[in-house]
Parts: sequence; structure tokens; C-alpha cells
Amino acid sequence: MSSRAEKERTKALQEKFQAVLSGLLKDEDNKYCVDCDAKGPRWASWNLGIFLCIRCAGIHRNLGVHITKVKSVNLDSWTTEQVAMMMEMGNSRARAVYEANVPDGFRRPQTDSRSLESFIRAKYEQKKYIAREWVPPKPSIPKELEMDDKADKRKARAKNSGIQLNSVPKPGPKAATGNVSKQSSEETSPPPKKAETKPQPVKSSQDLLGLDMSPGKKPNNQNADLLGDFNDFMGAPSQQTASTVPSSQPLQQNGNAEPNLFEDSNSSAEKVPEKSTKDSIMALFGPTGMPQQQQQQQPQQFGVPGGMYMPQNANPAMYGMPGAVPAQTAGMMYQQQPQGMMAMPQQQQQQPNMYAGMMGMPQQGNMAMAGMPQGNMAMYGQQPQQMQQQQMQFQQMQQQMSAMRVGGGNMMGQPMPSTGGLNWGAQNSSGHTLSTNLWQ
Amino acid sequence: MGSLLAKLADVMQSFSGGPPSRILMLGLDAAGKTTVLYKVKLNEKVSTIPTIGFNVEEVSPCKGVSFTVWDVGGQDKLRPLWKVYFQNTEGLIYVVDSNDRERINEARDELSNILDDDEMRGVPVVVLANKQDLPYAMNTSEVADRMGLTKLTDRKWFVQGACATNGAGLFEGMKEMARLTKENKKNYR
Repeated sequence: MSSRAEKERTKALQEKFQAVLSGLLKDEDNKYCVDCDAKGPRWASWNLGIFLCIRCAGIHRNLGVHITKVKSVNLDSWTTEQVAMMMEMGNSRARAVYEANVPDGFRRPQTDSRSLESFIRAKYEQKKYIAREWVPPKPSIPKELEMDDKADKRKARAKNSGIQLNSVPKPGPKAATGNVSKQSSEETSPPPKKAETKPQPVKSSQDLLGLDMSPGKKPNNQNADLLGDFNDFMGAPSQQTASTVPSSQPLQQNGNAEPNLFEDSNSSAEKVPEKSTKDSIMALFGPTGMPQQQQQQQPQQFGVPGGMYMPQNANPAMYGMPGAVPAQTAGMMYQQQPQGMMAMPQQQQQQPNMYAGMMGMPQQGNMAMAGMPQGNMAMYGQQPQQMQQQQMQFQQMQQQMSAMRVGGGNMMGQPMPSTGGLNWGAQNSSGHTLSTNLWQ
Repeated sequence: MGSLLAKLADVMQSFSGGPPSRILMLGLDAAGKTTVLYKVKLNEKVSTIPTIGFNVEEVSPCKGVSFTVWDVGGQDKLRPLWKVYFQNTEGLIYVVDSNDRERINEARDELSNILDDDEMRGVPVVVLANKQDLPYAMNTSEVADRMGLTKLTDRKWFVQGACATNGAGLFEGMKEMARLTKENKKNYR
């Protein structure tokens, strides 16, 4: 009983993390790979606090875990510390730190894998461009990520009153948005960026560093931290703010703790930016963040972007269950990847050099998933001798399908350009054996 | 006479190779499975990306040995899918990132999950202690110890230090895998 409750808890926690992470990915800040500017990153290095595309994730994994610890946003389970680190850093802040001393006129490699690897190694392994004063942060765990009954109740109350209180810590990552909106608009078009990068990183890295002192001074005051952070960022000239009035009023009444912290942490903070930031948070999270969380509490059937996940070790019932034939999975896979059709089910026929992706190929998104169940049924039809196992296998299939939805759910979060989509399951082709449609 | 013939058939098979043994390659994400696979296959250091799904290749690491190696993605949420590859597996290659001390326990638990499965009963396992070139790598015996191999009694196991990027240790590991699978087959006969 208690273990079941435990499971529920971890499940809910993971859902929460997923929601937070997909929230982070919606930030202007994190819409592009920190290293190569590819759109829609779905991987992360959690110790560096950056979001990556799958190709850069592959390169990062070459460096070793003493430098960078790579995780998939959707295919891995996360811990509180890891998510907190992502909230603390984010791509623009990380760029400010790790690219502080990039030479003028430096052109970020984008397509060539080899130069990308040397850039990534220079950046994180040799730390060639790092801001000199940089001290890696020790992020405190934001209140939002805690999972206790109190938090739940608080949340429930907030929901009832129609106000989302638990968005408090979000300023951390959010804060960077104002800062970034400027930067990132330039990042998409590399050349003009150069002129500006110089002053920008230096400035924000100072902010960051000032910030990093604060955990030491006020160890318990997490919000002050984040909000201090926030103010620093808001001090940056370039914030884009959303509409003004509607939500700021109730929020200040309810979250009476926050304004205080706000003033404590930065006495010179002007009223105006404070207000506008809250609005912008609400604007960003009100419509998107909240409905998402609610949806996720419903059965896992729906591929909420980033909201799907599977229990860490699956169903115990699944283990030790014989008769799960790879051929079946393979068959199912080919619902999505027809080009390998014959190769898998019988080992004898394997074509060498074949590879196949098991997860839903992202290009197909919803369609592939919708097609899946029938695929399974057909499968069983062909293998009557295994009828008695059908129930079990079906469960298993469902499990796999939900895993696939993880892959698919991914894509729905942010429609990727086809270049990104093709990367899935693919192998970077330096060998002729590998699939060809890779990194165009 | 019969045994002589059987022996002869054995010898013939070892020359002609016979059907390739089905080898499953598992391990945590970023352990280096795909790199191992393509290093053995192509003797080339390919630049890999995280495997979503699996790769499968027929390799013949040394004379008279041919394997069908299944390399399955190791991300947390892909691990429940490992078991669908278990059936008819003749040997398990379990790749460990020796440099990743934080997750060595996780690697151990996942391995014992695999070995506890009915389908994997008696299947020999070669643990590749990969990434020996990295600065904080645990050596082979430490890996064996922390992976709980020393307490593993229900099957043959072997641990091999390796560096997939330059190929060190891979062929030793493969050779050992070939030996163990062959032995295991004989015992079943």
C-alpha cells in the first residue's frame, strides 16, 4: 500500500517536472539549442543547465560525465535538483557565462559536426570563453518543485480561487526572457549579433555573479534569490512585457509573501518592472502552464507535450513475463518505418546496416499514434498461438505505445522543422552504412 | 562414432560460422553502446547521437565468430522496453560508463533487473567497463565489484576494460563473448 502511494507520488512528481521543463522549453530563452542554434531542443545537460538538440547532446556525451551530464527532457526521469538547475540556468544565462569571451566576429558552427564538436569542447572542456568570475550555482530547490501535501493543498486552494500561486519560483528562468529576447533575436541571424554580444554577456554575467552570492547569505530564502535574480534581469533594458492590469492585482493580494521578498532583495527595484514582470509571467504561464498541468492529471492517454512519461521501472507485472517477442515490437515499429519492413521479424533475414527507430518517428506525430492500436490488433491476428498471452502482451504494447507517445508528444510541443525531426533514431552518418537522410 | 560426427559438425560449424549468435547489448544511456557497436562493425569512430529505439548489426569481430548485435537505447523510459529483446538472446553485453561513479549503482540495479528475468536465465554476460580513457574511470576490478558481479553465481560472466573510441578491449570482450556463448550452447545440448 505504502509502496503504491510512493509510486503515485513519484509519478505525480515526474509529471510536475515534465510540466516545468516543457514550460522552460517554451521560453524564448530555450527555443534554440544553446550550442548550434537548432530549433526545438529536447535534450539537456543538467549540470550545466542548458538545453540541447539531439546532435549536440551526442557530442556532449563524448566529453564525459565529469564535464556534462546529458539527459533527455522527455525520455529520462528527472530529480528535483536537476530540474532546479535547469530553472536556475537556462540557455541565455549559460551563454552569457560560457561564451563571455568569445572573440569578436566569431561564427557559431551550425552544420559541420566536426567544428561543432571542437567548439563544444572548447566551450565546456577547456572553458576557453568562460566568464572569469563564474562560480557554478548551487540552486536551491524552488518551492514549486517540492512535493508535499502542503504544496498540494496550496495548489488546490490556488486553483479554487482561480489564481495560480505556485508560479512563484518561475521567475528564475522566466527572468532571463527579458534579457534574452534581445539576444536571441540576434542569435538567429549570427552576423549582426557579434557587435552586441560583447557588452551583453559581460553585463549579465555580473548580474549572475552578484546573484550567486546570495544563496550563501540567505540560505533559507529561496524566493528572495529567485526574485533578486529576477530584478537584476529586469533591470536589463530590453524586457518585453505583456499586457498590464488584469492578473497583477489578485496575485499581489494572495501571494503576500512575495512582494516583501521582492523589496528586500533589491530595494531599488522599481514598482513598474515588478508589476510588469508578474504580468508577463502570468501571461506566459496563465494560459499555457496551468491547463497543461490540469490535463496531465487525467489518464495518460493524451500526448500532452512533454507530459507523458512512464513509471520508472514499468509495471512489475511486465518483468519476468515470457513470450514478448521482438518480432512483435518490430512489426509495430514498421507501422511507422516502412523502409525496414522485412528485416526485423526474422533474424535470418536481417539486412546488415539496418537501423530502425522504435519510438514514434516525430514527423508523424499524432497520426502515427492513432495508427498504432490497429497495428497491434493485426499483429495478434497473425499469431494465434499466442492468444492466451494476448492480455499481457497488449498491456505491454500499451506500455510501449505510451513510450512512443513520449517521443511523439515531444514533437507536438513544438512543431520542429524537418531537419530536427529527421534526427530521431538516426545515426550520424560518417559511415556509409547509416541511413542517408540525416543532417541535411 | 556419433560423438565423432557431432564433433566434426561442431568443427565445421565453427569454420562456416553457422547462424550468427544473437547478442543483446544493453546499458545505461550514454554508456557507449552505439559507439561500441560501430567501432566493432566498421572499425571507425562514428559520431553518435542518443539512440531512440535500437540499432542492429551483424558483426564478425574475429574469425569464425558472427554475432547479430542488438543495441537498444538506454534512456530511463526506454528501459522497460529492453525485455522485449530478451527472447532467444544467447549473450548479453552490458556496457558501463566507468567514469560515471554517480550512476554505477543505477547500472548495477538495471543489470540485476535484466538478469532476474526468466528469459535471461543462464545467459552469459560480458560487462564492458567502457571509457577507461577518461580521468575518473574506475578500473576493471572496481567495476566488477561495484556491479555486483562477484556475487553473480548463476551464470558465466566476464568483465573487460574498454575504450570504445579507440577500440581498446573491444575485441577481447567479443572473443570472450563468443567463447561463453559457445560454451553455453554446448551445455544445453
